Amino acid sequence: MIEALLTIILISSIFMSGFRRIKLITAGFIFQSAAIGLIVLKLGYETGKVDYYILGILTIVTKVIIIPLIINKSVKKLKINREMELIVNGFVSYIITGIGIMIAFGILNKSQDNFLKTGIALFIIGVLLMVARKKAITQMIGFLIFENGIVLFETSLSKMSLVIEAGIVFEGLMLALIMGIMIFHINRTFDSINTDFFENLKE
Amino acid sequence: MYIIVLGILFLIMILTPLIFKNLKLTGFVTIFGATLVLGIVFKIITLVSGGSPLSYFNEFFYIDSLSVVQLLIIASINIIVSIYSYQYIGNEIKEKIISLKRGKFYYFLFNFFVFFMMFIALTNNIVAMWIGLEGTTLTTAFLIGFNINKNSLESAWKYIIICSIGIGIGLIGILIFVNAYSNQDASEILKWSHLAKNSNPQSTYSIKIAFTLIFVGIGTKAGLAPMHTWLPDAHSEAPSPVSAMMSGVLLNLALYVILRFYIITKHIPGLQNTKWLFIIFGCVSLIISSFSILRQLNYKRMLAFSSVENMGIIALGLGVGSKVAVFGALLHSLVHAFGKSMLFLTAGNILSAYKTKRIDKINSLIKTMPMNAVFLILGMLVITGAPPFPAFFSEYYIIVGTVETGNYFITALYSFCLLLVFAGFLRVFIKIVFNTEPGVKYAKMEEDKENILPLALCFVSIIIMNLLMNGYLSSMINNAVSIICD
Repeated sequence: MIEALLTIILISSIFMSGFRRIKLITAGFIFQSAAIGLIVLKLGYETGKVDYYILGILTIVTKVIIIPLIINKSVKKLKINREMELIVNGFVSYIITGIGIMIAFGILNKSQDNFLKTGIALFIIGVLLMVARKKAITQMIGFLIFENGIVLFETSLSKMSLVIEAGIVFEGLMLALIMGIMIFHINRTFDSINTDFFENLKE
Repeated sequence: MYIIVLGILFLIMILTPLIFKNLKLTGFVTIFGATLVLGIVFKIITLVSGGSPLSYFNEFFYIDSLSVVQLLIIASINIIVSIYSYQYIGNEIKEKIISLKRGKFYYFLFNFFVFFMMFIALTNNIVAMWIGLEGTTLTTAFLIGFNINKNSLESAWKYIIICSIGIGIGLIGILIFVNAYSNQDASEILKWSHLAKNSNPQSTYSIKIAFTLIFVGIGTKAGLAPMHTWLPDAHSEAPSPVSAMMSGVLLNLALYVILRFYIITKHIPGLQNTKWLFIIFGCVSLIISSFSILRQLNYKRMLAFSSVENMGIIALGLGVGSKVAVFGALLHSLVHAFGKSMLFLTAGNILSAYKTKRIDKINSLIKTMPMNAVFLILGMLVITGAPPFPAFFSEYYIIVGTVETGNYFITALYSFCLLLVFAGFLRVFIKIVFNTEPGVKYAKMEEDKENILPLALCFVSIIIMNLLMNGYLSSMINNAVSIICD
């Protein structure tokens, strides 16, 4: 069950790295977050710890419902549909993602912990989306994928207290919210959310 | 007890701008609260000065001599900047640059920002330190983009993307770090005071990886080159009081978090090489910033690069690791906080009078704004380390440290970079202050006297530091040094 969910996470992230339409990327993100939420809930069911339940429910509520709603709303409002010119095009992105996953699973091939490997793969894909895309909104989704990787990492590695875990998740959500607000301001000031226009600050 | 009082104070300071409509009242509450916070910090300093650390709430808060240095920096710069903000925000509203609502929003974010920094310095939980750092990212992102124009939004977006990646990498490092201690009692492994006493982790190798990730990730926030790329943009576009606060206090604090992990790592046998991270990143910061300072056209940007340089100096001093050098590094973080705040606040005064950040548009400041010109020159002397100011001693101690440990190449590189920075600063500030263009009459500007008090406070604090150098100050810093070196 958990293996199947991890596969969904990896496959969705591979698709997301190459998609151009922001709606499709958001759909991929929903699948991914739902899978992560279910994994955490399953762990909670197996171990009987309340921490896992709360973390899982928090993930599902924020990342499957609230954030995609905000993204879809702003996509409609800002009238953006797809990435026009990519810094790294779709095909190369797929290849980089593949290499990233291979590296993640290759380095840690001794460890039995699939969470860790998937988490590292998600870090690579998230950073790729943040660096290789021009639309601010795609960069934000890249950050959210990175954040998903952190959640996976957390569940596999550590046994922290509930307050601390909730703090980490809450701050991730706040950061996404702040990015969202900033995208609105950017759109109003630049008439576009293309980061190509960010060229005023030079020496 | 003190922690609860601090918490209530910050709660009041954060809530006031949300509840009351009166901006003046908010400003007064902020200044008054900052004064009380400074008083409490002084009380804490006297309690800790004996050398024994305090701990509250089942060791969630833990105050030792090292955090006291940071507390002193935060509280004193906070009060100076709140006094400055009162006039600054008033002026901005009077000139209709921002609305009343945004003025209140400024105070809300500002107090939240200070709260998070205080939290980092007080807490003992290593993940809570990370939460505090992330909180400062959240609050400062809007403060940097406060003016909502093209430049400020660009820099804010850059800041939020680069710093959130950096701090995410830092979290990964912290998680691996904690995992390496998973053979121990789960309720204790997040406590710094527990980890610092404990030098047998499960795997030394994963500690090594974790510390490198933490250094690179949180080093992004500390503005160490080559992860500094957000810093010149953010510090030059933020409102001047915010740049002063970020440059003087926040960078220090990020370095302080790294230092906390370094103290744990250092005691583990086989990991002494981690000090080279500090030395190499410090040297790279020094080289990149000193050459960048030479070719800046924007004075706030130049000050921002100078912050990168000073963080490089502090990191180098910490990395060299002999007692003298670490003493120098801690003293330098204190001096840099006051000196850089003074320069940024003066730059803010000049900016609000001239409305330009370009160096070539400003001439003969000694005639148009004589008081600010004097403080600009004094600030420059403080920050470049001219005697008799304390920065001279701190930079000198670090040189002594490098010679003592036999790193002659680093000594040479360090001295060369300091010389370059001095030359760059002299070139710009002498031009700004004394250059007269033929045929132009320079009249005294009215803005000159408006916001002088905070600058004077900064300078007075530096002088007081000079006078106390052999007494309280050195014993306080020596206590902190003994935490790092022993």
